[in-house]
Amino acid sequence: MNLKMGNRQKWLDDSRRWSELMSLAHRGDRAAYTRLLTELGEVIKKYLLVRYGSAAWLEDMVQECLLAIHRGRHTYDARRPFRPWMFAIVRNRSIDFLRSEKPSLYQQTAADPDAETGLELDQIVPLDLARSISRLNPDHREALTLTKYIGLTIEEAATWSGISPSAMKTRVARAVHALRKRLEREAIVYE
Amino acid sequence: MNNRRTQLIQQLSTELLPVNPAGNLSHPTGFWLLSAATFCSVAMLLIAPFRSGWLLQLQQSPMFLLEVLLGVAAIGSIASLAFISGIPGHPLREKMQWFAGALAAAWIVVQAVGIVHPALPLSPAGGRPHCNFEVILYSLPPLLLGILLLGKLLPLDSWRSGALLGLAAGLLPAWLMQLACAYEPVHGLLHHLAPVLVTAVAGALLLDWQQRRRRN
Repeated sequence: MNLKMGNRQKWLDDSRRWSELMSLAHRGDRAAYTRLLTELGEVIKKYLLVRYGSAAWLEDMVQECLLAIHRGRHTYDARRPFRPWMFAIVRNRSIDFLRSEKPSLYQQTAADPDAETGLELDQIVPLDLARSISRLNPDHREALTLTKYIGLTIEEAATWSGISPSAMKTRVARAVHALRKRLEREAIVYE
Repeated sequence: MNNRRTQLIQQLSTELLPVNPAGNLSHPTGFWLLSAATFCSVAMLLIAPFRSGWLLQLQQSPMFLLEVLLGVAAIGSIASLAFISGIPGHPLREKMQWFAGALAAAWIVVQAVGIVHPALPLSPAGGRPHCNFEVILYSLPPLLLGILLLGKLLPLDSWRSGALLGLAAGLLPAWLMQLACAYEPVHGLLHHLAPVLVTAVAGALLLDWQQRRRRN
């Protein structure tokens, strides 16, 4: 199955551009920083939509992530890839936000792998595929999101998730297999 | 785009100041290791001299030399891992976890093997009456310095990062005790290494407290 959930060249171009913008921001370039945060805000929003679904507090979470990126911007080194750095912060901050601001929701999200998510994914991927992805277990959903949608390499996704590259490769393969099975059951053809 | 988000971005951009990116982690790691080792050595020497003949023992016993070198390597790698954990998404984090874990395990195993096959003849000579308290006491200033340095980065999991730093801070005086205190493997495991659990917990608590203060 070929999951065309994003344009890899665009992801690479985005990463390079963000890295350059952050380097300029390190030197105090405000225009570059504004542009960077504006673009990152949109990417983070889309990622959080995939992960947590549409919710009234999602924008608060986006802003918390931008604040965390702002506070930690000095830890980014242009010699390292941008996406793993950014998504490590986003993931950590979003989990912290849920724990402290929405503890009941955190418990629910952690406990219920079949919770409906990604209601606005039709803006990003075809609706049927989005719905099927949202019904995968959290690990599979995350593996697919990181590698197929956000565009991290297996190694980057593995570092981000705190597992080995071989484990991430297995996880992605299993996620694709599970997704294929689900789509077959739902008699949806996607190529 | 959301209005509130636009306002936040404008505010953050207006407040933007130049920063020095935390590029080469070998600088803070090396500085911390050198400072901590110097402090611990001097502090120990001020209380009591090192065990008589320890230098000769290093030269004459390859097994003892191995124990000591493994200790150096383990402490260095754990300290590196602690500082690496202050950089989100650092590409070396996982490899360093395995490396540090393997070295630390090897060091402990070699010392445990020493219970049955000691590297040196067992002797109470050079014994320090309160070596376990000394390990904890001497670890505190390096731990505080480490919290200060690591806190300037962005440790996303402050419990884990703090525990690693506490581990490194405690293992340094514990390692020095191999040279300073009586050579007896069971004594070393119980009175030099075991107290390091306390310093690890202290490191986790302190860094977490520091990060919470900064966030609020």
